[in-house]
Amino acid sequence: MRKHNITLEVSNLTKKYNDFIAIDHVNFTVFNGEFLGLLGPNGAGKTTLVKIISAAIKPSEGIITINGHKIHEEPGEVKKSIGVVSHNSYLYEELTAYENLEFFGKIYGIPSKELDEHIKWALESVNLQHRSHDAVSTFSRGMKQRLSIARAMIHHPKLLILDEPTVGLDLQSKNIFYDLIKEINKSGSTIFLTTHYILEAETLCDRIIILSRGKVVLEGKVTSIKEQYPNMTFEDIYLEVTKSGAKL
Amino acid sequence: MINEILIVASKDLRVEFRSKSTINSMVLFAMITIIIFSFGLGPFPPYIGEVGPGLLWLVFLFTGMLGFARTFVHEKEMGTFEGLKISPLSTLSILIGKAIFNFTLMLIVEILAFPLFLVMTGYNVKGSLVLAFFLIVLGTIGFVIIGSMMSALIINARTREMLLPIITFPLAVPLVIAATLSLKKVLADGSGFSEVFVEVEFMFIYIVIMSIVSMLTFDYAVEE
Ligand SMILES: Nc1ncnc2c1ncn2[C@@H]1O[C@H](COP(=O)(O)OP(=O)(O)OP(=O)(O)O)[C@@H](O)[C@H]1O
Ligand SMILES: [Mg+2]
Repeated sequence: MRKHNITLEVSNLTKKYNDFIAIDHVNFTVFNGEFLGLLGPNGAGKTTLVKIISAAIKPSEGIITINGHKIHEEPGEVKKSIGVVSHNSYLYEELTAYENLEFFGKIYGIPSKELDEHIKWALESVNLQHRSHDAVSTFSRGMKQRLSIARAMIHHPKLLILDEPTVGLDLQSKNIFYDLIKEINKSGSTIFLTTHYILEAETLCDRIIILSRGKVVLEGKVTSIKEQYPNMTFEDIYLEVTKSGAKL
Repeated sequence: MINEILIVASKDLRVEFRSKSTINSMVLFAMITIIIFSFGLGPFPPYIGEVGPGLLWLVFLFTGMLGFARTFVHEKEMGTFEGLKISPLSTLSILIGKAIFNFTLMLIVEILAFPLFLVMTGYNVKGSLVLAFFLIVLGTIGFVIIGSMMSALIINARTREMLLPIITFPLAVPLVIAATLSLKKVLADGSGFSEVFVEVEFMFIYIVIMSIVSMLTFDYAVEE
C-alpha cells in the first residue's frame, strides 16, 4: 500500500474565522523523508495551516492524517510524533534552557533515563550548551529561537513543522540552522517548512507548495517548476502565481 | 496520567517560585485584609465567634481570585498555552495539574492566614484546630476546582480578570455556606466531626460533581 510512504495527508481542509475563509479546501500530501516548503505572502494562511496540522486549532472542515493516524481520532498518538517551531517559542522565561527542555522532554514521553542525553544532544545541536543553566529570560531573540528549535526536536519527531524558523536569526545562526535541519532530514525526519524567503525554499526543499489567500496556487518539485516556467527566476514565478490568488 | 499531572504541577510551581509574584501578592493580600478586619472590629469583638469563619472565607475567596486569574492567563499571555495544547498532554492533565498548583498556593496562604486570623481577632477556639483546618482544606479543594475551571473558561475573553469572580462566586455559594457553617460549628461551638458530618458530606459531593462537570467541559472551554 502506498499509504505507508505518507507522513502527512491534508485533505479538503478548510478553516473559517467567522465569515472569513483563511484556508480554502486545501489538499496535499507529504511523503516520508521529504523536505517540503510552504511559501506564501503575508496572510496567505501558512500559520493557520501549521496550527491545524499541529492540532493547536481545529479545522472547520477536512481531515489531517499523520503517519496513518487521524488527528481528531488519536490526538495523543499524532502529537507525540510531531515537533513544532512556531511564531511563539513556547518557552518558559523563568526557567533555564535545561529545565525547559526537561519539561518538554517529559511531556513528550522521553524515558527519564534517556532524558539528560536527549537534552544535551538538543542543546549542542543548536549550540547553546554553554547557556544551559541560564534563565530563558536572559536570552536574545535568536537564542530563544534556537532553543525553540531544540525544544521541537528533543523527542526526535517523525515530522518537524517549522513556521518561519529563521526569522530573527543572524547569518551564522541561519547557516547553522540550515545545516541542522538538513541533517535532521537526512536522519529520517520529514520536514514541513514555511517561509517568506524564496531562496531558502529553493535551495533547501525537495518540493514546494505555494499558498495564496488560503488556496494552493502552485505545487511541485523545484526543478520541475523551473522547467514549467522557462526564462523566469523563481522569484518571478512566485510573484506571478501569488498575484491573483486564483488557481493557475 | 498521574505522571503527566505532576509534571504540569511541578513545572508551574517551579515557574512560580522563580518569580514568586503570584504567591507574594496572595499572601500579602490575605495578611493585610485580616489585619484590617481585626483593627476594624476592635479588640476582642464579642460576635467574632459567629462572623469570624465567614470573614475568613471571604478573605480566602478573594485571595483565590488573585491567584486563579493568573493560572491560564499567564500561559496564554506568554504564548506557552499553545505549546501545551499541541503537546501530547491530555487537556485533563493540564487542568488537574493547574488545580493542584492553585491548591498549593492556597494552602500556603491558609497555613499563614488561619493562625494570624485567630491571633489577631483573639478568637476563643472551642473545638479542634485540626478538624477546623481539615474543613478549610476540604472547602479549598472544591473552590480550587471551580476556580481553575473558570480561569480556563475566561482565557479567550477580553476582560478576563474581572470576569473571573463574577462567574466563580455564584457557583461557590453552596460550597462556601457549607465550609463557613461547619467551620463556625467547630471553632465557636466546639463541635466534633460527627456534628459537621453533613457539611463534610455535602462538600465532598460538591467536589465530585464539579470535578465531573469540569472534566466534561474543559475541552470545549479551551477550544479556539
Ligand atoms: N484568530 C484569528 N481570527 C481571525 N482571523 C485570523 C485569525 N488568525 C488568522 N486570521 C486571518 O487568517 C489569515 C491567514 O493568517 P495566517 O497567520 O495564517 O497567515 P500567514 O500566511 O502565516 O502570514 P504571515 O506570513 O504574515 O505569517 C489572515 O488574513 C489573518 O488575518
Ligand atoms: Mg505566519
